[in-house]
Amino acid sequence: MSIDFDVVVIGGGPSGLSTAYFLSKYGFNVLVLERGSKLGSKNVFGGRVYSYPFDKYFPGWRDELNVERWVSHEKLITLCKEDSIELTLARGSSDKYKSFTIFLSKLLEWMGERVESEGGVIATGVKADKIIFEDNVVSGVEAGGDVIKSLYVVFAEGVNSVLAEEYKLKSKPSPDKYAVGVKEVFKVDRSKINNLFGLDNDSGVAAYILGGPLKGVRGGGFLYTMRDYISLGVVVHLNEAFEEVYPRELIEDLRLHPYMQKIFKDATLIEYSARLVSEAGLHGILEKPYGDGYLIVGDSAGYVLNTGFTVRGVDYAVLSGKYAADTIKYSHENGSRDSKFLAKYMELVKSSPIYHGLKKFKDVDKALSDRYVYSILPGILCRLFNKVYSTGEEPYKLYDSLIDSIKSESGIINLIYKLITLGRSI
Amino acid sequence: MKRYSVEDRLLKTRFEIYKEPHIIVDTSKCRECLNKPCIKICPAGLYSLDEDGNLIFNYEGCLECGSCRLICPYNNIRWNIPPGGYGVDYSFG
Repeated sequence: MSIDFDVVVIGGGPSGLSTAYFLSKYGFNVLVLERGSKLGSKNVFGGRVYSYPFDKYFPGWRDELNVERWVSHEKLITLCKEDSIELTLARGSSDKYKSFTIFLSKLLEWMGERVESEGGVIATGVKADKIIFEDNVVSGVEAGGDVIKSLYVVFAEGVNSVLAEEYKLKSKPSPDKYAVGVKEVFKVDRSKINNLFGLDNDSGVAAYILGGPLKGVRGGGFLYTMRDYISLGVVVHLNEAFEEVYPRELIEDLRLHPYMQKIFKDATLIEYSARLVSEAGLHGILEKPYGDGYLIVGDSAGYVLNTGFTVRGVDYAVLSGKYAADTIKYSHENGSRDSKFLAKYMELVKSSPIYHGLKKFKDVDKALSDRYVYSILPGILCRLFNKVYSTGEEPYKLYDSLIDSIKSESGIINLIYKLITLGRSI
Repeated sequence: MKRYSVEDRLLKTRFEIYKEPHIIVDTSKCRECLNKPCIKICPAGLYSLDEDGNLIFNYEGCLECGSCRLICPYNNIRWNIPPGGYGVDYSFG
């Protein structure tokens, strides 16, 4: 058959551009189809990226990529009715460069430059409408009426894999293991950000937020500092929509909590965004993310891990792109487009940090969907701290405070049981 | 500090709206649906009830998250993505 490109990649997100970069580097003729009008138009995430895949596979990236801030401070913020409890890990200087905040549009723009510098082609504003099969082998796509033939197709559509689902290459996910993430980005003076959190210009905060307006809701909040912006968001289990929970209002409740008011007073909202987040972990990954002539990467393949405190997504996307490229190289060297050869992809995934991480947290989906955790833990913490630091006439003993706090929210036996189950899974 | 309505917030996000909807809801079936989780889950608040209790839906302002697609208990939302170059256009995602 006559081909237009060796490989067509559907989607110009982190996984698609990673695939395209490595394939181009290996000498393949690659076309990336991105439906957004520019790279990043359709991409949303919380705000943090881990450095390790770039250190490993993108030498020189630190000189090229203009990150927002390096995450020097990890915060666990428990909101009470009006008070708040903050736990901070302030990193020493050497560990600070292991993760950073950024907007996806910036990250993808840079990855796109890398792809193009290796000779890859990126077409933005182009949506893949149909998949072309020849003798049951995926052999290209149809986009905007044009037929584009290729030896291999890589699906990097993201969490909503409309095309792959339409052709039954994957099934429609169940809402039980998904959450919706809602994000507001604010312009905040750089000096104010630095003063609020005790930062210098290149260090930043990644915060996980529980309690307060989020008490009892299966989900959590997040906050990331950018250089001149702060992103605030909530991630709420989809099934909460069967209760009286409105994620779009919850994020505002969160912003209006006294703790947040001091941060967002006088801040200007510049963008509102949303996305689906998989909470299925290991149980959500595709059993067979490959077939004759195609591979499925990144979010489309379910490579996302919510550990309960942090989310791994972009790093897994970038890694899976590398494995996809290596697999296509291997198959092509063997002159094959057969799933027998493309199955190597799954071998690479299974021996990678993606699979190891997901496996380690294999029960996290159960913990994340247990309402109990979201209601009693912040409740106990708030009461405990208020007792221990009582300002009344008589102080309370730690032990008495603890017992009282637990009893006010839960039974002690029940709590111990929950803590053990939870402790094992996160 | 004032609370932002969803409308306030959607004004901050850029859209290139296509002339035809990318999501089609067969609202005739929605009467049977007691919970109507689409109304609550949609971050853009695009699902609502009219005076007679009929579900109404507007695709303009869709953040393309896909929550309604998964949550609909009757699998009644034909969810697609807008044509290339159209729909939401994030810069700070």
